[in-house]
Amino acid sequence: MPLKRIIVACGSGVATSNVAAEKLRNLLREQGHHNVDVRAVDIKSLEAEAKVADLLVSITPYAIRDKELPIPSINGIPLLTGVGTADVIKQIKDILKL
Amino acid sequence: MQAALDLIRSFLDYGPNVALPVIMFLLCLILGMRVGKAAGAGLMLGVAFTGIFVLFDFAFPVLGKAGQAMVQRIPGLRFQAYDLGWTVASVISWAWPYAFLMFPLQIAINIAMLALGWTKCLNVDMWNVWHKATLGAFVSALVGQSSPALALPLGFLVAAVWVVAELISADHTREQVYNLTRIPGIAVSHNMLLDIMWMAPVLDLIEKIPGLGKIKTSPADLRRRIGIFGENYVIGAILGLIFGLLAGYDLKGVATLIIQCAAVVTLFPLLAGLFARALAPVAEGAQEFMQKRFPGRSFYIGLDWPVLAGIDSLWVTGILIAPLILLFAIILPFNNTLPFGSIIAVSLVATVTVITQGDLVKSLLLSIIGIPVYLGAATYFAPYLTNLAVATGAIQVPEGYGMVTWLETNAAGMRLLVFTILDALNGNILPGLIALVVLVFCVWYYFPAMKRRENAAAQESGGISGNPLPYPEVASKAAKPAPTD
Repeated sequence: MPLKRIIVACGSGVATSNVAAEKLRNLLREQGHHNVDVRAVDIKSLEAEAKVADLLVSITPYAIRDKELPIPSINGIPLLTGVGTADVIKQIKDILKL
Repeated sequence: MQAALDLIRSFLDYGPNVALPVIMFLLCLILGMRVGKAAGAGLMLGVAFTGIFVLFDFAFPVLGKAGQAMVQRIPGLRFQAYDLGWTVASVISWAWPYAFLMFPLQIAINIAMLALGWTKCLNVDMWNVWHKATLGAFVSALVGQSSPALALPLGFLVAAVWVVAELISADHTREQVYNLTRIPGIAVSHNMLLDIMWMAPVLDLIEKIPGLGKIKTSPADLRRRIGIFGENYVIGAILGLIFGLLAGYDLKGVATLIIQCAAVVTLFPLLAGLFARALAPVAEGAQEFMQKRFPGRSFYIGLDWPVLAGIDSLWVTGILIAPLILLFAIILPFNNTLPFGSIIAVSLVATVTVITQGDLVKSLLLSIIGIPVYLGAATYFAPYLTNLAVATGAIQVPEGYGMVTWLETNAAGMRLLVFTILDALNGNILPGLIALVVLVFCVWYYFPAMKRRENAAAQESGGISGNPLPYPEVASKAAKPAPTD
């Protein structure tokens, strides 16, 4: 199976996105999905980053820009609040057909 | 006992890039992590620290040389401090020996305030604990000048007040954040929003300008047009070009500076990202610890500012005021900071975005008024940050170039007020009293102003929990009655 690439964007690509990405990495690994690469990126470079990714896990799910990207996006806020993470994983599995 | 203390002391002398990974490793073990994972987190912290050192060693002389050349060539320029962005400031703050104690401080205060019903915000943003570390370290340095015995207690007291203020601020901005993001169950507990305390009266004055509401703008369109010019490396390159020309470099010098500046602005966030990864297990452990304490209670989650990062007017404002920040830095007589790493002053424009509810014209006006405050804070805190870096050995600041600082001092206005008040302890009584009066006025103005704005935001969005009037007690002053349907 080819490697699936997920990006998580935040305002600087430093803090929030890395916290969410690290959590997502751990959750996916716990469920045995080793074939997924999760990367934190800067939202200012989102268009360029989306060209080399399969899915955006967004912490700005209201933004119109998310919907204009060539890749699907899902709401990643639960990764930050800790409420509803199981649903995020389920959506990711459905979209990436893991 | 003495031997153990000596051992710890000599160990801390190895420098933060050795000591901190070990502290991190032990902390992870305490949080119940497996040995292998804990060691990984510790190592990653050392890697991140070393990476920042290496880049700083490269970046600081590049910027310092250009800055000095500018100062020598153009009369009236006073650049002595170089803005290397918040990422560098955060790394330096972690090297303060008491920095990690800010985790338990923040958690304990939050839990107590939730239990007492003084807040409804559970702040799980453990990344921004570093702001409390800067406050603790800087207040200690300020107070220590005349009263060494008070230095540490007051440092922790101000940090504690900050934790309380962040939670209260999250409580009083959550309808405004919801109206912008429509994400239920969250608030922004970042300390940048504390500057709304001085911005609220200023914005009320701005809104009295006739015809302001009639100007129609399309931030989304502008954002699309800005496109690649909003990306870090392009901004860095443009700054490199401007600095090279101001410094009077030859063609080769200018071209080199363009590439160097683009590289520095791009690389600092990448390296700081490693830092975030290393701290992630601590943040997650703390978050789980807090959420376990309050199962099923009705609270909302306090998050870092990037939940606002999808709002177009935020970035458009940030990019449009960037040239003004540079211009103000050149002409304002009290400023000696050369803006660089935080030329897109997110902590200023994100705060403004919340209170103006994404209105581009109001955001621009309020941000422009904020620029001198932010430059003033960057200049004021430069010696504090530089001294902390030198004292802890966090970063070797090479002699003869000047100081390191960061322009995105969050809640710059509130920090300046608090430090001016505390400086009264060092004998500067009159400025301290004036600052105290200003602070009292800001706090007094804040609560009714916020309730009015929260009501207005809730009316537009329908309210987070379906209640369009969260503060009925100030509703009589509102012009529009609440919709009945």
